[in-house]
Amino acid sequence: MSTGTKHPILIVDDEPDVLFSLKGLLRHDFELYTAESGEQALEILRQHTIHVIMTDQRMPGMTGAQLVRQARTLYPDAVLIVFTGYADIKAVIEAINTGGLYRYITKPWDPDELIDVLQHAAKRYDEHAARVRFAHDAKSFANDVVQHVEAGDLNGDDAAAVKPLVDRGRLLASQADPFL
Amino acid sequence: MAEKEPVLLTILIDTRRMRWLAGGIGFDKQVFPLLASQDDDLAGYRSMEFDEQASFLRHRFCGALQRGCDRLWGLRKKAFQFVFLTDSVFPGAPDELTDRIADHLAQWMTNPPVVFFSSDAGSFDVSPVAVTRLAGDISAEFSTAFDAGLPALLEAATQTDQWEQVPLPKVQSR
Repeated sequence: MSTGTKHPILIVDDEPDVLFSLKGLLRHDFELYTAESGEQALEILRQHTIHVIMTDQRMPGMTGAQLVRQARTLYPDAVLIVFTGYADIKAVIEAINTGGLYRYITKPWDPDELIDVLQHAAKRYDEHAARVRFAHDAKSFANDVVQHVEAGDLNGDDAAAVKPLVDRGRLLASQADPFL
Repeated sequence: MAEKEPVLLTILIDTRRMRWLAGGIGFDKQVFPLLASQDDDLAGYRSMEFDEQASFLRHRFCGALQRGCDRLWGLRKKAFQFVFLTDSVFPGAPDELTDRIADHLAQWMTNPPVVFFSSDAGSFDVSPVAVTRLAGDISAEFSTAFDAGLPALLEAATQTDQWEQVPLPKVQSR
């Protein structure tokens, strides 16, 4: 998991000058990784936690849709974006049928709008991560309550045993609203 | 978002050398040579069936537009119109391939809109270049700017050092 303030994103395109251009555009706002093929992308994903994957659809070898299918299975938390040229109907169909896509983007995109799209994608990652953390905390709390009840540890007079659980319960309740 | 200066992002299609050039035309006769592909960048379509030819060329031209938009962004400019100008129909292919490409780009791209022209002379060697619109639309204001700036852009196209060279792709995409 990235400890910096910038979201790590992976851009995949078989044309190096496109990657170079995107690096120039995005490097101030994101922690950027690039790959020139689906295989290179999967290698990067094995080594780093990536929040957003943006891939060209039309690449020799593994297409963007094929990469997205694998990434969705192996790295389900990553937000997935596919881009391709306008009116490439077959590519559109394949990308959409892949499922799990956050966005499909057409070339050419407006650079300012692309930054907005990626920032929204990163925000979606954060929201998902927060939901997952909350779910884990809630599950852990519920399990602990059950354990204590089954062990007979909880006694209204035993404040030392009860108070921590009450505090955790109140904290979770205060955090729940965004997920309802 | 700071305001950006509007330009016409113009893609010149040089079918004799199978290459494209992307440049900007401003509203004060200013032109901005941006990128030029290497010769034969577009040649891959010749070995393909018709539908694949169209798909291949659309992909190449969308890439050209993307690179052009990216370069304009760095200059604090923005494309308010896409203009394609080909010197001739695509050789080694059915005549309708050029019309198919023109129609598709004009129909699918609306923001900004596309207009697709062809040189009446079958080349860029004459001056001035008279053009015929194959597809799409252009406003009177943008058309005036295009007519005023085109001669300078075509002149710049003869000078390699004014353009950033785009390398050939390693393997032609399928």
